[in-house]
Amino acid sequence: MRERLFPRWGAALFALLPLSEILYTTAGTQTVYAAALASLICALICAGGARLAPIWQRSRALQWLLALFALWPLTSSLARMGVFLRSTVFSSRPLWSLILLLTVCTMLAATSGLNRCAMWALPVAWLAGVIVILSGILTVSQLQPMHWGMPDATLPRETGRILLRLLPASLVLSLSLPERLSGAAARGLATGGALFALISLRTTLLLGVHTAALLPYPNFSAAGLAAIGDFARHGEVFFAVPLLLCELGRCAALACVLLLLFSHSYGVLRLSRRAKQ
Amino acid sequence: MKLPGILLLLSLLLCGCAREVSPVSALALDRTDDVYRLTAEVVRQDSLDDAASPAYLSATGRDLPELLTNLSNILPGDLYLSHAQVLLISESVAEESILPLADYLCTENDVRLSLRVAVVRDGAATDLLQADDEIYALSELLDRAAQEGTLPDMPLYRVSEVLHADGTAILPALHLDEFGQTAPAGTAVFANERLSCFLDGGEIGGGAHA
Repeated sequence: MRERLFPRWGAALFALLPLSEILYTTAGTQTVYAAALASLICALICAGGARLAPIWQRSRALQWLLALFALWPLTSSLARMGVFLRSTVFSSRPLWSLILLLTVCTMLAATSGLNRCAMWALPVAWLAGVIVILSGILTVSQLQPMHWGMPDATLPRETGRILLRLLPASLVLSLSLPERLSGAAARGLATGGALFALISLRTTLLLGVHTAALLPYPNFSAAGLAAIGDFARHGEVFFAVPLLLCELGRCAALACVLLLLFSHSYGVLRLSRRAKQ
Repeated sequence: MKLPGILLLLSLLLCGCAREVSPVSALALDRTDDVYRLTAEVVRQDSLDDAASPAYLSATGRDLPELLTNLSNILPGDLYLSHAQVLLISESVAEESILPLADYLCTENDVRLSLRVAVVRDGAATDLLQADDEIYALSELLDRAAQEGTLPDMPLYRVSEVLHADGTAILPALHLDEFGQTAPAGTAVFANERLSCFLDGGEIGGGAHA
């Protein structure tokens, strides 16, 4: 039976992309609007990209171009994950060893194919979504609305900064989609973007603009203030693990785009080609 | 089965402590002239009945990074500040700008943003820290007082935020009462990032509180 990338899997795969940004994005009054705006722009572009995907995939040269382009978001994701792990948990481990380990994990996951990566993205996205919402709920009583701010002149710059990280991966994946999943891609990005904006809002209202600006990972640090009594006082660990899984899923999907060039034995693209033949 | 294996591999990386750590439950910072003294209440669990008991270790230095380095040098294990819940500062420390202190603690990876900062009136912060043999008694006192509204609810992240915003802040004040017990002693008011007065009208270093 021909493997099929179901729309809900596709939506989950694209939801991972904004969710992966949560750990690394600075928090401020403009970040809330910028996160929502950047995700919306990405959703619109990717909806168009997914429609163009069948045309794009007919050309071998364009596929090579896409694979080379995929190296950019892939390497930057691996690098920032490594830096994050080193600065938060494994301070005594060399950075290269962490990046190597993450690369091995990424490649192992990628060999299962884009279809299965998307399938696994569904529970991971749900887990991350639930944890993000729970983390927000647990800190609601500590939020201070006076930290909220209206959009100002710095919004385009902030939006551009998020787009620069979010758009390349979104574009690569939308152009690699095997089937017409433009709606699913847009839905996934919009849902992930909404969670991204909400958690940025939580961090800003909780920590305040000045304190958030001091921290290298403000969303992660703010999650440490979510506790259920004396239980789970290190809420940031529960917060970071699903988000790192989201980023690993994103890396695996991008690596699938690379692997498709060298082998036609992985992923649904091969199957769709065979179906065409 | 590959992905569960990868997840297991990653989750194994995220657990466990490779080296012995010395968890710190509270800190006290004093100043004499230009020399600071940092005292840490370290949690010990080496008794026969496995009950946790505090041990106090002090180090001197000219700034907080140096103090923490000196303190970690005399500890048997790695200095572990993630369990620290209270930082006591003496009036002499609070009389100068506490913003660099708050900023440093915020950016220090181990220190929790929920750390409560309190000013010690009429005495050394170290003396107040060592007055109670029960671990986390100070943090419980401050938590309870914040919930009841008798002392300001000012964890570290709020202190940093309000000091950055306009240099004004209020912090809980503590003192040792006539029985040698730790007791709330009103509210310390900070203006221009420095201790300005206490809300009960007592002067800095005065002891006029009720």
